[in-house]
Amino acid sequence: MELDELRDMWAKSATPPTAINYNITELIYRDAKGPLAMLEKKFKAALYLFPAVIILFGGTFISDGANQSVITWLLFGILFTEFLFSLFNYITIKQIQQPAGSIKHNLLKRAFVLQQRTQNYLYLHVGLYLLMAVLLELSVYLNFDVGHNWWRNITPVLRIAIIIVFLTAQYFIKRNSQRQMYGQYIDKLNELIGQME
Amino acid sequence: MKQPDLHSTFIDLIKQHERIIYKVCYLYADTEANRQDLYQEIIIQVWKGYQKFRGDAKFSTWLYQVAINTAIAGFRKEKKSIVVFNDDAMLPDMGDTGLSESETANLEQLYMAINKLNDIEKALVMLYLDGNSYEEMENVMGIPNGTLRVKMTRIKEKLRQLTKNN
Repeated sequence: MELDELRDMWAKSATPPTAINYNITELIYRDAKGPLAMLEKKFKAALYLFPAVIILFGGTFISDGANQSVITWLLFGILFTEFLFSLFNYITIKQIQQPAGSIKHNLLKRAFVLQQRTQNYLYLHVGLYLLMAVLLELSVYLNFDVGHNWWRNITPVLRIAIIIVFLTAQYFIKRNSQRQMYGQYIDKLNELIGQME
Repeated sequence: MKQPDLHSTFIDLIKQHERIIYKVCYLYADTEANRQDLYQEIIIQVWKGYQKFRGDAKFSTWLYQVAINTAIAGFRKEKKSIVVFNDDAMLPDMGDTGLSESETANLEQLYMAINKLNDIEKALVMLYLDGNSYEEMENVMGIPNGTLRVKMTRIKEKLRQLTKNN
């Protein structure tokens, strides 16, 4: 069977998938249900949680100003960091979802953006937690901490060991979660790019 | 353009080029339910993109790009299914195409063979059978003309072998 002989038959072959909802006007107002669209919704929902965090901490910050306990600052810092990452992920997902452009260009762009972003995400994440650890240590030396002496009472060697364990755990946890979220997709994109060579 | 005008122009264009979307659905989705999901996903993506479409390329070229990109790069997680799909599940309904029995059999054989190709090869075969020139195929796929010709020669040979084995 030769491919060229089948062109006429091919032209006649495509019929609509049965029982399809053919009301295009209605279809275009529906939300996309693909996995990327689902991820986008998840990150968008996380963005809406941030006002709740502001309300939660707002009262404390208004009444006591910057004179907060280390725990309050840390908790706020972690929640703010998570908000920043949700925003970061949301922008990434939005950027890679656009399906226009030649197939090769689109695949290369998606793979590049995802690989670059996941790598930056990891460094930024660990960097921000490292910054928090430095601030925590500074608060000890500058007597910034109010009412929480437990951290100050731990020996400096043990404090540094705890920070190293925490940062290492953060690195591996985030790396694994990034792999779970995007790893399979990046592999698939690279496989498709390979098929084009 | 006002929104109602944009709507009606869009719907007219989709109706004119609907076969492109059906073919992508048949080539990239393995069950009727998945085909319907993919159809819906493509329409949504085409509509989103259409509002920014400036007409730099032919509408059909742009539609091929959006439909194929949505189908192959739609981030569908691979499922390790123990269900084996019957080859017939991949075939379009050919009841009303006006083809003879032997033509239908040939076409079914072709669909089954195409199904065994990888995602990029499927797209190339579809573009080729739809009568696109190599220049148009290059615009859609982003693969240089020379590479496309080599690829098509290999695909034709592969399909010849696959249909011979069936």
